Amino acid sequence: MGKKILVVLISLFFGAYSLGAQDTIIPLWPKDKIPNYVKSDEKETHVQGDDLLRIGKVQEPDIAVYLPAEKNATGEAVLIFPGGGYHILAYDWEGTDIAKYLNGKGIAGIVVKYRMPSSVSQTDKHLVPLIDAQRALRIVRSNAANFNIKPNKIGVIGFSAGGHLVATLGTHYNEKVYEPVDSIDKESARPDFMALGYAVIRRPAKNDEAEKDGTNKKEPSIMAYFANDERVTSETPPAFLFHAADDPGVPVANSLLFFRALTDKGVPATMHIYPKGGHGFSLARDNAHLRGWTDRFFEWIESLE
Amino acid sequence: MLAMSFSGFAQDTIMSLWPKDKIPNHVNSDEKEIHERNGILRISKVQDPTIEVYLPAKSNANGQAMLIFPGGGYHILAYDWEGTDIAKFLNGKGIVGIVVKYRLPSSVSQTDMHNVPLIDALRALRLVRSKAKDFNINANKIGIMGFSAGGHLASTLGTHFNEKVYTPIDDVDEVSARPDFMALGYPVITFGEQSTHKGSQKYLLGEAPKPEMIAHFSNEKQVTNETPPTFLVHAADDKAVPVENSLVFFEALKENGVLATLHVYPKGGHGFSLARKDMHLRTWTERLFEWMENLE
Repeated sequence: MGKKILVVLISLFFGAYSLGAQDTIIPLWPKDKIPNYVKSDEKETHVQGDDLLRIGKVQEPDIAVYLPAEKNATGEAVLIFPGGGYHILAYDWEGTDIAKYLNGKGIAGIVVKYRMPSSVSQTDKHLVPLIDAQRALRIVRSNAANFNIKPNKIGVIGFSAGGHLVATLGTHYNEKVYEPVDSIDKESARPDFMALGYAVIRRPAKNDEAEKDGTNKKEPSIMAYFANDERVTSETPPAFLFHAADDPGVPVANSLLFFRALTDKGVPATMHIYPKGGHGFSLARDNAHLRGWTDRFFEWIESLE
Repeated sequence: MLAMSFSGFAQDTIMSLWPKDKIPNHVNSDEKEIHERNGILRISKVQDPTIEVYLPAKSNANGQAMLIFPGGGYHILAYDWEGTDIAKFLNGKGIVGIVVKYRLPSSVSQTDMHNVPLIDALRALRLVRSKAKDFNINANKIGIMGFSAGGHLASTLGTHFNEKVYTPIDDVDEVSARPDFMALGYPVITFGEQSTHKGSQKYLLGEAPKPEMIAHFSNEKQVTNETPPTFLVHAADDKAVPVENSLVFFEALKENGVLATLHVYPKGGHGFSLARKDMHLRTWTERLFEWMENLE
């Protein structure tokens, strides 16, 4: 009963619509105020493969909010940034499945459908994922009471390129990359904790993910801007990193680089590297060793002060 | 051989590594082994190195064994804290735990003191493998683990197991000394670096070691594709032995195609052993067992 009322209320405020029983989808921006948006005939694509749901060419970014029963809720929330090389979003595989899994531990799971760089429908496309990530964090924080979460227990998790976006948010949350559109933009965009799964941290010369990320390699200033290991400060949130040593897509060196930068600045950092798993393993249900990372993640959240 | 061993308590057996008059590099002196108990049992000036064998009940045994090298900066051995407590804990998982009381470098009672811990480690592995049947273990499931300086010794064994550093004295020395897997807890790995544990370097290599000797015992430089699969655990805030030691070893393993697992916890400092008082950190032992179960 209470949940239905909540959904209705959110719908009224944000023009949201309900997907299923549990979740609510909320657009990040008022329709005519999406920063860096350029009108075009680009359309969002949903491709349901045999393996997973891939979303491309996102035009209207949103969050899908998965809440546990109030009685199960711990007060923590985690925003989820699916990977896909800044080209597509592995939306169920590294998104909604993670949200539902978090709900099983009493944690609110919020999947962020962020825009990917597009020269057709955006200006300054390299900033667009960060713009959406900041806004998503702010919307969740401003809705803390509605979502039954604590505004100082809002974390983020990202996989692969989504991990790059999380690392970018964790090191650029204070940067003004868009003009505030409403009072939500007064909220802090600093995540309280962040988790990075087989994350891209910067673009080494040989990095397949980097090929598709839409930034121009010939512009060194943009490269430096997104070299997230160099952007770490003592204010960067505590981090949890996991990676497979044999990752052929995004070398484990990315996590090591970020871990060293965090440790150098005195930021509490936790890292679990498994011997095998390759790239993009998500919950790794078929690998008895690797799949333990999810329990490591929950233990870590419980250990945070 | 049987005559050398005697029974300590109900569960464990202490065996000398060497026949009494054939201890390599031993020099007669009036140095005596010292045992000090002050929260931790600290043993120093080891003269007669031994293994202490803890066996699980036969019906619990999974066939794996782990030799345990306690830490103590190559100066003492934290014998119960990073030794016998670990052995007993392993028994609870059906794994044989064997604590190695290795000699610590001593210029008084040893020649070539920098080689002595490795000499004892090689012999300990061979002795256990030669007794696989007696201990109800598989001869190809013998791992090693070491803490701090004991982690240096374990990683030295894992990267120098083929080196001839003593003259064989009996059949035991014909057995391979290669560990089948190794686990390193907050290990000392590298020498001559910013991240080096200065005390361990001083006690093992002396005050002014030559660059060749530093390189020889900087184990990240000695990894090959024959180095056994490795499990590393470290706290990010370790002030005594910086986590950089585990990171460089991990990178060397990966570089050489050796299976490597690394768990770094945010807090824990140095020398945390089982970390019973830290709910987060203490889960490292479960990571160890999972890893052991998933070895091929």
